[in-house]
Amino acid sequence: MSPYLLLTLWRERWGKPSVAALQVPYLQGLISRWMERFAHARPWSLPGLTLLVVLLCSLLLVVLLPVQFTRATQVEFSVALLIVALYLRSYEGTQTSLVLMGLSLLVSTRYFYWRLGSTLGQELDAAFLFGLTLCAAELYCWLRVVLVFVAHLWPIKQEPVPMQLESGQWPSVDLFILCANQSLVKIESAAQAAMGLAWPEGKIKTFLLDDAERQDVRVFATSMGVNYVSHAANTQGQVGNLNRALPESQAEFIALFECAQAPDVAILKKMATWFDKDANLAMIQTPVHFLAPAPSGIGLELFDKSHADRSFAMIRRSLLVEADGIEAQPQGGRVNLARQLQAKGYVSAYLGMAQPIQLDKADHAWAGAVATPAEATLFLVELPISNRVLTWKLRLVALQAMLSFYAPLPRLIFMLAPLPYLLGGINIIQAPIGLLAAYALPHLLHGHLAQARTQGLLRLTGWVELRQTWVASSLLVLTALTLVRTEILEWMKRLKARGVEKKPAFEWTSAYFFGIVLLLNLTGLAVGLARWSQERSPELEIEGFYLLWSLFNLLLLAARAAVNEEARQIQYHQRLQIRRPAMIQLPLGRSLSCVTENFPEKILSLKLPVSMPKAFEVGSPIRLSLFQGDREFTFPAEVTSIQDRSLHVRILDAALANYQQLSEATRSRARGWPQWLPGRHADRFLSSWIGKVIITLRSGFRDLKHLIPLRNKK
Amino acid sequence: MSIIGVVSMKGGVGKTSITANLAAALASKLGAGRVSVIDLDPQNGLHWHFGLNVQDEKGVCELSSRSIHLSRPDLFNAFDVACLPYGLGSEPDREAFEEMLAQEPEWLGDQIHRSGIGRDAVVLIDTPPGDSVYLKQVAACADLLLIVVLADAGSYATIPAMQTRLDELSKRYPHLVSAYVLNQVDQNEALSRDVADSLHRYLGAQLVPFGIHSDSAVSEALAFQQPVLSYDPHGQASHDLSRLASWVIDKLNE
Repeated sequence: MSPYLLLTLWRERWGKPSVAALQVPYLQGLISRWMERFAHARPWSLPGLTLLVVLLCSLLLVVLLPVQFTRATQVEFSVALLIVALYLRSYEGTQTSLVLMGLSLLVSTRYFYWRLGSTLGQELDAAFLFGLTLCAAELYCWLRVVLVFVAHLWPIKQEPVPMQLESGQWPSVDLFILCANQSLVKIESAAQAAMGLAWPEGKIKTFLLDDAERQDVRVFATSMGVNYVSHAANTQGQVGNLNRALPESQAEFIALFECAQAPDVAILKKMATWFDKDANLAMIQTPVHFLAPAPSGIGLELFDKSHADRSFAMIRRSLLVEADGIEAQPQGGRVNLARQLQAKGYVSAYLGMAQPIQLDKADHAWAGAVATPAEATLFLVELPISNRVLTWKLRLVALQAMLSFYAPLPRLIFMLAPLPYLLGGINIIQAPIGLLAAYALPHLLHGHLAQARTQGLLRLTGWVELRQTWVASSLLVLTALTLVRTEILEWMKRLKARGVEKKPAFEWTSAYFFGIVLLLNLTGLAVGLARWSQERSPELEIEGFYLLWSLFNLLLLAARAAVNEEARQIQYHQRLQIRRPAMIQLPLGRSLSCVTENFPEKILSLKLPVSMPKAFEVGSPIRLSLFQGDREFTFPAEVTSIQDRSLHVRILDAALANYQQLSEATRSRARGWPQWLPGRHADRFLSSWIGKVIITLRSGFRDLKHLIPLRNKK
Repeated sequence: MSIIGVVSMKGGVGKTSITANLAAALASKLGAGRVSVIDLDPQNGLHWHFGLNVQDEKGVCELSSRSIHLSRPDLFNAFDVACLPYGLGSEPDREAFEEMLAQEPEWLGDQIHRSGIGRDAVVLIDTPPGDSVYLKQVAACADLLLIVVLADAGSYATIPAMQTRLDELSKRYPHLVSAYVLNQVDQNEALSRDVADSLHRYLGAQLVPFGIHSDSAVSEALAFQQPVLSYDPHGQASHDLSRLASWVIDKLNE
């Protein structure tokens, strides 16, 4: 379950507009036009001017950095900058983003300069160490944000490129269709779809790539006039089949299709233009492809979910031959043709075809869970910083992916940060609260404002926090393990490949750490409040600050649990709707109590309590009763098939209208929650948060209960 | 201890079947040794449902001079229900028994309380149709009266009389709870559907919200001398009886 899906469910449940509707288009105004004109002004082409401006800006930063304002001046300075940022943020344009990022960098650098210089204390004691840890965690998060800024500095605007050549001169293409483990029916339809691709005749050849030789496929290939390449001794999966077929191909390009996917008719035309434009381009692939690791989660979001159901690649054959085919990886390793090509100095590109797809849970869970570990593996095992293959840009991207992967660790530090003071009286930020606010709040606000520009759909600042907490508590153990030894991750992957179900263990660890952090914060809050009420605290102001921090942590944890809880409830109710009690009246007056498996369908699948193969004959009429609460509705039906304990019946046409009415009546109620109840739409801040705390405690206790049987099992 | 009386104003509505099958369903939910049935119907049909064919065993009507024992382990049959039949007593026996019942309206309750069963036991009592000394005895001691009705005109016509009788009884025994159970429901018959609908409207919360479906497994089970829950556990009637048992348990715990 990805945070994006959670957010969608949550908003739907409270009757709020959908996440997509929250996107406000940026304004176009004088400001953005001025900045555009300024960025493209003629003087910039003068030699040395850019360098001079960069130097001046750096000088300004160096001057501004160590200036120690008083609290009042710092507030004025911050407010002025914030007003500028808040005004600019609604305008579109890359330049606006750059200004926002620049302001954020300035404010944050000042904040960290001040934090490291003036708030850690003079002696090497516990307060200093705790303070330094917190500061390191903050720096870690900030570094991530800066890397995201760098990655988004210049968005690539890919305009469509028309084909330059006459159609007679278009390059030749060999279609490789991966047929291993596919049925002949699918291969037939894929081959027929390949025949329909828009490309000049005689310039295109089709190859069916298969593992072991199959006679029926060969016969079909011959009848269609396409090539059939089988590779019985294959040990490398699809890669082996590709390498086997490579020598047989003579064309300029190789287009790679999955057998199960029908290609877009114009796809070759769309792709070939890019190769035409850039001679260094070696490969175009869909974001998710077995030839390369998937991009990070944010990357996939930017591709507008085109990854979800497509797998396609187009490769310049000469360059693939030059790279000696595709390097097969040892067991568990990820093939990375893109990097192999980059090592030879060629580039690869992603194909961002937006396909309108259904919001599919499996896909979303996948995008969140698998993409990130792959990146971390890339970093830890293959060490891209020392890997000469990668350019500095790619190293930065890999570094950012790594920092994102380990983000739960600093997040945990923030969750635990108020505890040293609340439980042990150690103040980890030695500065007046007012001054801290004057420095820290602008730092956070500017960071959010600038980040929001880079986040697209995730432009909901509060939810970023929630998402991070969520990820933190569920990925913590995985992260810690990876930090100790990447091999353990590999080992877990192999376990997964062997089909060992380890989901309960994962939930267990997540619940375990969630419970610990929750309990620690609750304890801290209780101790702090007790001290506060007895007025024994030396500094009430600082006490209050840490109390608020702890409370904030609890609210985040509560929100996480509440979202978790509701997501579970939504799924529960959805399942309930399709399973409803039913009764079959048998001939001779007997009856059978059963459950529907797919209620609103016209061919109903019924789960029988026992296997009764002889009681039903295909085609025989039965009477079926469906129960809605304590009311009963009967329909004449006909048995269409029976297999073991599942019986399929078709509602007869005469009763279909009534059946339709029942199905509408039962399904017209939305998802378990009646949204029309009065008061549901209003945001009641206090009561809803209190409710969340209660839900948290409840689900927290339940999670803790789950620990006990698992321990007993060991 | 909970005492449930199964009554009706009209004969042939399936009181005895419901008593026996409900007892078996309760026993399967509550566990062995907690459920007993007493047959107060001179037709003496209840024990057939449990496969008992003991001629030498004395029934209630012959035991009138002595006390009732319900806790004897040998009374419990294969279905975990202790069954006390009415008995094969002669006409004079029955008349003497009924005369005694008329004179001592609290006799049955006293006997059950002195019968040696535990506080968590449930006793179901089957009665003959209509108003009788047996109904008075049951009303005097029962916690819950289950009134069995069919979804037909005959049953429907008896309901005003039953309501009047219940009003009188509830004045004398204010703790008595009563509920109507619709037996042999068949949604395929227009009349049955209509009567069921009007009963729902007329009786409201007094009617158990679900009925027992018409199912030939119930009469077949009697032919095989066992409760329907063990004869055809997956039939709709078994399913409904099992729900009725849960409903009764909830009602008694209210």
